[in-house]
Amino acid sequence: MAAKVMVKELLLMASDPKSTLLMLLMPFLFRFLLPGFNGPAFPAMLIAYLILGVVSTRADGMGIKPGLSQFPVRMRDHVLGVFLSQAAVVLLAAFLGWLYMLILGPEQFMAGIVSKTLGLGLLLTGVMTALGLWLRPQLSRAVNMVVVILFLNLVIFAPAAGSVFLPRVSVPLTLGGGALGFSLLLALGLLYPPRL
Amino acid sequence: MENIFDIQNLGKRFKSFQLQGLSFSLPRGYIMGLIGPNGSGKTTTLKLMMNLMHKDTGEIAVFGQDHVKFEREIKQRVGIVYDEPVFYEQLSMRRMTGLIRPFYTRWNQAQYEGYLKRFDLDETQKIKTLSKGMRAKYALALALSHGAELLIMDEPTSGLDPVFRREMLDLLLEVMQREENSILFSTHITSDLDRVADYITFLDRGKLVFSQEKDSLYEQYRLVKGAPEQLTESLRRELLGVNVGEHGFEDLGGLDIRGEGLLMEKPTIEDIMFYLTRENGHGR
Amino acid sequence: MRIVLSNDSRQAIWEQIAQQIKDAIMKGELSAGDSLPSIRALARELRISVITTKKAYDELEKERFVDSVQGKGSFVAAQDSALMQEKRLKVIEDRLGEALMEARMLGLDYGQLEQMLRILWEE
Repeated sequence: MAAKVMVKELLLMASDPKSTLLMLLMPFLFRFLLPGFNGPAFPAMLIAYLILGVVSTRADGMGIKPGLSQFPVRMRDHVLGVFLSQAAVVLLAAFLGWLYMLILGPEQFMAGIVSKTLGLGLLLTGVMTALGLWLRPQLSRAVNMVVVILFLNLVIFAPAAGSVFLPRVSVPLTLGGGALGFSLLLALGLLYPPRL
Repeated sequence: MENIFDIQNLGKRFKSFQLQGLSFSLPRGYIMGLIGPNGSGKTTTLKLMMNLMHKDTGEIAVFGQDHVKFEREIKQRVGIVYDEPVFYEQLSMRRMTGLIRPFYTRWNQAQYEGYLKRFDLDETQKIKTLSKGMRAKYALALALSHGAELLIMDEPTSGLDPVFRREMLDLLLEVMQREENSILFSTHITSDLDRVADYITFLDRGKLVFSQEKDSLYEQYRLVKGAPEQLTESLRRELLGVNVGEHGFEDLGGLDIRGEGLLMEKPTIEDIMFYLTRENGHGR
Repeated sequence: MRIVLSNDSRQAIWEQIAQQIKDAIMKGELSAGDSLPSIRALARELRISVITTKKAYDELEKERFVDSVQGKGSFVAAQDSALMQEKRLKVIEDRLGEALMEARMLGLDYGQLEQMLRILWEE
């Protein structure tokens, strides 16, 4: 049932293709129009923008009410489904980032940029999804924006090509930490479901 | 004959309100009207049944199954129309339905389209542009298109024009042609129930006042009217919540009330509700 | 079969239904073997509760006006003509009784009542 919810959430996100497409194109616009934009960290930017795009389309102001009142699901199905759908988005974004990197040649970009961004992205998505369950829609939307912008900043101001992204943490640590953090937040979401 | 639902000792505490010791059931194949003043706990009861809120105490069984353990199975067989239903507003009805459809094993597309036509709904319209009446109709179409055996409706007719209210009642009676179906209908527009309900459950300030066959209510209460002089002390004591005006009084009494020249009438459900709530101490 | 319900009447709705069906049977508008609508169909048509129509049919069955066959529906029972006669006499008796009560309340005496009856009879 949670899988059905996940699919439903993904379909819901895709129902506004215009804004998601815009979000997909934005990084490219920045890349080509703004001089000195940090090329080597570009895949991370792509990922971040995608997450942002998805996050902002979720903010329909209605919160979780439709998901629970119009669908024959339990609260935990809904929570699990939502978390899974967000994870799917991050994975998809990472895949696209990786594809981009592959096409242009990995040596142009920072080492570990995609995998570490994936880890970070999972962690942050977990945080945003959990907060989205507990906070009022407008508030959670604001928090989401802040989180993604901070993430973007981290990526934009990272140093140049050939260097290592986030040198102080290893890839396995970032990936593992991200996945672990995500799972913990999911568990919290299931334990403390939103009140209607 | 099995009860379509059984509520035993339901309780839930809020900051300023409490639902206490609610117990009532509905046999399969009948319509129950849930009535009570605003804030009496009707909506809360329905939400608790659907596990949209967690109860503090009590047991609820729907189709003979515990409503928490078998929440998903039960929801497949229940069609519910909430007061001011909430959808994904930015979607068209078609898209919204497209998201809902895969969740129901007994979804009947032909039936759904039939209802859309009957209610004169244009599926391509975005939900946020719909009027209150159209939203209610859409919600109803959804509730009736997945083979539900229990239809739960929270204030379905408030905000609807009288013409559609009549049509909706006819629709409900159509649903009831199948013996397996039941309807639980919460409303404060009791004129609808006066005719159509088989059972009436009356809540007041979180407590159950009564839950019984509607016909037996008429056998239990009479509307008593008379001139002010006829309102003797002993009569006043026998009546429930007197409404005295300059030209006469009107009140609810049991069948045993006797009096010279008093007018006795069959009360409406609204009368019964009005006088019993006054008896309970609202605005005396 | 036509049933017209009145909300104002002293009679409970189920009584009105039963009464009108009885009348129809006694007047011959409905014959033995005719099928009656199911309690649900009738409830829907008249826009009333199923329990009410069920009560009406139960009453009719009790008084042997109607037979219900499980799975098939309800049918007008064969009327024993002596029984029928008796039932119709009872209706007249009841109605006369009502008229009598009205007369008494008005303060009429027997002679005045008899006179009224004669006038009506000769109409």
